[in-house]
Parts: sequence; C-alpha cells; structure tokens
Amino acid sequence: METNSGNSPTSQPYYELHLSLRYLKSRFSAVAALLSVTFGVAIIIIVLSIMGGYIEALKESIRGQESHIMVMGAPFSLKNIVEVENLLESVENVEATSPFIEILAMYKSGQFNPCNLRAIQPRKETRVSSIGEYVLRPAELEAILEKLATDSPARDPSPGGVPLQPTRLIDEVLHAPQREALSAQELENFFEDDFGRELLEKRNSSILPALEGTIPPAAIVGIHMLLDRQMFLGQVITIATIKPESSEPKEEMFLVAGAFKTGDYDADSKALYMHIDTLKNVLDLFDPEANSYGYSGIRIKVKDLSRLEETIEEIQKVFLQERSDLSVLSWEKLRGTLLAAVKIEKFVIYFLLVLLMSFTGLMVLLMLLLTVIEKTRDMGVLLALGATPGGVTRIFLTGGLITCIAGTVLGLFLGYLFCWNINMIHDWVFALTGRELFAARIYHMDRIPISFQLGDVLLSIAPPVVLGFLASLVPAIWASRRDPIKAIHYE
Amino acid sequence: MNNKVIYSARKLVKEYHSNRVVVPVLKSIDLDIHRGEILSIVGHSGVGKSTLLNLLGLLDAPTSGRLIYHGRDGSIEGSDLLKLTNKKKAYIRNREFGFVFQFYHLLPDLTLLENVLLPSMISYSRAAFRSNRSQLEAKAEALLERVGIEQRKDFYPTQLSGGERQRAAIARALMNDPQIVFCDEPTGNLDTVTGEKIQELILELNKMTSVSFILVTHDEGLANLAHRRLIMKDGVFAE
Repeated sequence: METNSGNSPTSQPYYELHLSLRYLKSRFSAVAALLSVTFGVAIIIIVLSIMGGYIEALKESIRGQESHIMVMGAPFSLKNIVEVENLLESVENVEATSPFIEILAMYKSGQFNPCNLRAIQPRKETRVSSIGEYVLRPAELEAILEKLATDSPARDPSPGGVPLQPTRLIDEVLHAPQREALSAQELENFFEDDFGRELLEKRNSSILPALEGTIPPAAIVGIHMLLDRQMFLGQVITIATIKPESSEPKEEMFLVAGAFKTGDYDADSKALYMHIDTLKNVLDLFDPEANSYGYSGIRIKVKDLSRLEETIEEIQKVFLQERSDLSVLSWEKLRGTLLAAVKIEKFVIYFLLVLLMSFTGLMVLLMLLLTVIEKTRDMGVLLALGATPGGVTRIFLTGGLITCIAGTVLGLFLGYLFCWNINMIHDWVFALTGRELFAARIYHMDRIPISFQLGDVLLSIAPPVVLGFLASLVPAIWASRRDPIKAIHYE
Repeated sequence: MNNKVIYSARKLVKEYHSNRVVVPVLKSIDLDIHRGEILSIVGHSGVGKSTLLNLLGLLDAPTSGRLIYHGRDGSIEGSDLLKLTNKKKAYIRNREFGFVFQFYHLLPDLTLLENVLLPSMISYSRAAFRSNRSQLEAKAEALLERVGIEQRKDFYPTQLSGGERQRAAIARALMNDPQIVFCDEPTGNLDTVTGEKIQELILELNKMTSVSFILVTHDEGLANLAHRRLIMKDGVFAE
C-alpha cells in the first residue's frame, strides 16, 4: 500500500490537500484573499488589453494613413518628382510610390477652424496607403447620414436607452467582411466635375446660381466634421492658407464631396483630402527655375515588409549619391515618439499594478497567518498524530496557491468578460451619467480598443502566482515550526 | 496483558533551563511497558507526569536517556527511538502510538468520522487513501460504534458533548491499530458520570485488543482500574 514517503503529487499524504481545502472553505479571510487576487488579475488584464489594443489601433491607424516609408525634404522642396520616383523605383523592394502635399490651413464654416490639407494623387495613393479602405463610397455615406439623421442630435438615446454611437455604425460599414476597398477610379471620381455637379444639385442646389456654372474642387473630409455638424455633405466651404513661397494669404472654395474614417480622431476631425493637382496650383508651388512643382514628400509601399529596414538603408544609399537633401523614414519612426510614449506608459501602469498586487499578496499572507494562528492547536495535534513539518508546510502552501490560482483563473475570466463588453459598458455609463469615460477627443479613438495578447496574459498571471507563493511560504514555514506540545496547549 | 516488554525507558532525564538555572523535571526514570497492560501514572501537579508522557510519546526530547522499542516494525526492533530521524519518529507516532488528550483536540473543521480517519489520512498517500477509502471508513465507523457514537459520525466536534468528543478521540487513537495509547488526563475535563463511562470504555477496549494504555491522571477511580499504578514524586517514581 502506498504511504506518505513519496514526493509525487499523488504520493502526498491525503490530509494535506483535504485540510487545505477545508480550511479555505468556510473562512471569510480566504474569500477576501480570493477576491483581492481576482480583482487584481482582472484589473491587470483589462488595463493591459486596453493599452495593447490602443497601441495596436494606433499602429493600424498610422499604418492606414501613412505608407510603409516616407521620403521627405524641406517643406515643398521636393522637386523633379518624376526623377525621384524613378530613383525610388530602381530599389528592388519598392512596389509603388505616390507624391503628396500637406499643409496647415483654416476652413470657414460659420467660423474659421484649423485643418490639415492632404493633397494626393488618387490613382497612385491607392497603391501605397489604405485610403480605399477608409473612404466611404457615396452610396454608403448617403445611407449612413440618412440612418443617423444628422439633423437631430448625434447622440440621441436609442429605444433601449443606450446612446446611438454613429461611429459604430460607420465601422460596421467600413469593416464589413464583404466590403472591398475603393478602387483608384472610384477615388478619382470624387474629384470629377460631373460628380460635384450632381452632388450639388442633390444636396445644395440653392448655391448653384452663385457659382455661375463652375464647380469648386472636391474635398473628402474627416467623418467627425460631418457628425459634429461643422459642415454638411454638398456644402461649399472656404479654405484659407498661405502660399509657401510668397507668404501671401490664399482663399479657395471647396466642395465637401465625401468623407473618410481612419479611427484616429485627430485625422477624422481635422484632415481634408484633395487632389494634388488642385492644391499645387492653389499654393502656386511651380518653380520656374527648376521647371517643376514642389511637393511635401513621397509615400512608398514595399513588397516585403519584413525587409523594411534593409530597404530604407538601400534608399538612403541611392539618395546619398543623388539627393542628399532628402530624408527617409519608416512609418514607425515617423510616429515613433508617440508609440514609444504609449509603450512606456503601458510598462509604467503595469509596474504600478504589480505594486498594487503586492497588497493582494499581503492579503494572502494575512489570511494564512490568521489561519495558522487559529489552527495552531490543530497543527500540534497533526504533528502528534504523525504528520511531518513538511506536510504541515504544504497544507498552508497549498492553501495559498489554491487561493492565488483560483483567483487568477476567476480574474482572467472576469477581465475577459469585461473587455469583451467594455464598449457596451462604456455606453451604459454614458447613458446613465452623461460622462464619456473614453473621450475620443483625448484618446484620438472613438471606441475603446482591446487586444488580447499571450504576453499580457502571462504578465497578468505571473504577479499573483509568484507573490501568492512567496506570501504563503512565510506562514506555512512558521506553522511547521510550531512545537507540538506548546501548540496542543495553545489557547 | 502478557509479560512481554514492548517499550522501555532507561535513565530518562529531562531538565529545563530558565534564567541560567537548571530545573530538573525528570530524574533518571526507568520504566518498562508490557504488551496489553494498563499503566497509570499518578502524582501531584508539576511532578513531571505529562513531561514523561510527552517523552514516551516522542513529542519531546529528553536531556538524556534512552527509549527502547520492541514494536511491529522489524527495522527499529530494540533500537533507541531517540536516535531516529524526525521523519521516522513521526512514522512511529502515526503507526505505533495513539494519543488521547485532556481537551480531546479533535479538529473542528472535520466531521467526527473524518477526525477518526485522520491518522490514516496521514499514513496513506492520496491515491492509496482514495482506493481504500471504503475499507478505512468502515473501520472508522466500527470504531465509532465500539465507543458508542456511530450515529454522530457526520457531526462536527462543536455539536457534541465532552464525553462524546473524548470517545471520538479514543476511536481516533485506535484507528491505526497502535501498540500503545498515551492518555493525558482522559477524564480530567469530564463530569464524574461521564468520566466513569470513559474508564469503562478504556477497560473494555483494553480487554478486546492487546493495546497498552498509559494513563496519566489525577482521577483515583481511573488509576485504580490499571493493572499497574506508579506514583511520581519530584521527578522519580515513588515505588
């Protein structure tokens, strides 16, 4: 018959686990310790998942707006664009290039508001960035605006009492599985006069006589400009900026022809896309000496993303000989400071939460110390009846570990449950209190992003298990070192 | 009772040190315990009765002396128990000895049946206990029946009277079929009538089994039931 001499789990004496569970069963302190571990783990997993999701969403948003690589020089100094593009396309891993112009401006819609003008060449741009994925087709935008009835307040409570989240509706359209990105031709159509005329006739016909047959150039605006009713589809807005060369102010009328949603609130509320040919003329960027227009930069898409750094080095080598005035940056480097800041923030928050978890370890320690004090006489009896000090140690060690592991499992479950429903919970809190916990204006995202990563799960599990084990060790060893005679007579 | 000596103490000395003063409690005790006997040790408070019982039960270590055991375990036959490892001493306490305390000392988180099973929970591995659970429970129930409280097996100690708790403690002491049961004031916390019932139970169990009972007591009635009665005075036996 198997006795208590072995060391494998099944050869452990029966009483150890039996008493561990019995001591945990009816103790309030054990429930308190379990709950503290549960909430500690849940908080860590929620925070890490939100931070992870935020970083992922930020990267996704940047990646969507930017291309893999950007070539930039001094503002509007990138001339002889065809020559530069040819140089770039000579690099093996470069798949496509697209020039762009970016400039700060003000748009007038009631009052002047700051905005960021992004001028693109639609046909080329679709090859280097994900613009086709986040620009809404005219029919999609019409349907959304109709559904949201933007004439009424955007956050009217729905019949269920939860406020309607317009961005969720747009996300459903943009991220529908069967939806295909806009083709280059579809994007080009926005900038055609016929499209503009049709739109004006449909949505803003009263302005047509004043335009005297001319159609203003089109602009595709960030969706929040429409949702916040700063402007409406078909509106003719005035954009004011300064010519870079002469520093003269320049005003130009544009037609709000479409909308996009990247998920980056900053871009979705301040950026306007327009045709590069329009803006370069408006800004008078032609340099007669160079017989060329000046551009802000060139976006590049690579064939193999895993060779990104290698490709950047190659481009730098090419430019070193021909165009040393230009700099080459990856999208991650371009927004690297922001990403690094968020990653550091994630680490700091994790560190603080681990400190918080040490209080959880303290709870386990106190729970077990209370149990050891309460059960001192039991330990004396057990030692008298033939239990070994090692066995007594394991009673409490097992108790501590069971508490921590059960708390961790419950915490992970609770954390995941919360994360899956976090946006619904956010909406409920908003409906009840009118307060936005995750304000899009602050976090640049309109929904709370969540990302479950194995590393985060391990980071959530490690502190309670390690701290729980360490916290259990002290009372467990203390219990085993009790003198059985004193323990038996302990009152 | 037969005359075979199963346990001997030789020149057992126990001293305590208090503020650099040596306080002798036991002064060179020699004692033989025979198989199946009831031995009572009486004496005034503080003469060293309980200390002797703790030393014999391997709960405490003497200052000097030897404890020679002739039990069932051939590997330790005739050897000095004091020279064994702590693990081996724990093994002897579990398999060869039983203990009955004045205040019963049942574990309040376990039912009466589980309390009786406790010595076998210590001696059996988890797997072995599970596979032998029904036989072990039957044995524990039989012991509870023998001490007259089988109907209380699912009760917790706090739900029982003092007499019932002491009966359960006696059943627990017999669970692993020990050679010797050490009883420290087994009736000391009971009223006269209940104490007499416990005396009868010890006598009956001794007759039914070959277990030796070593009783440390102030109870003259209980002491008089013993086959042998030793009186302790100032750390030595008076006769």
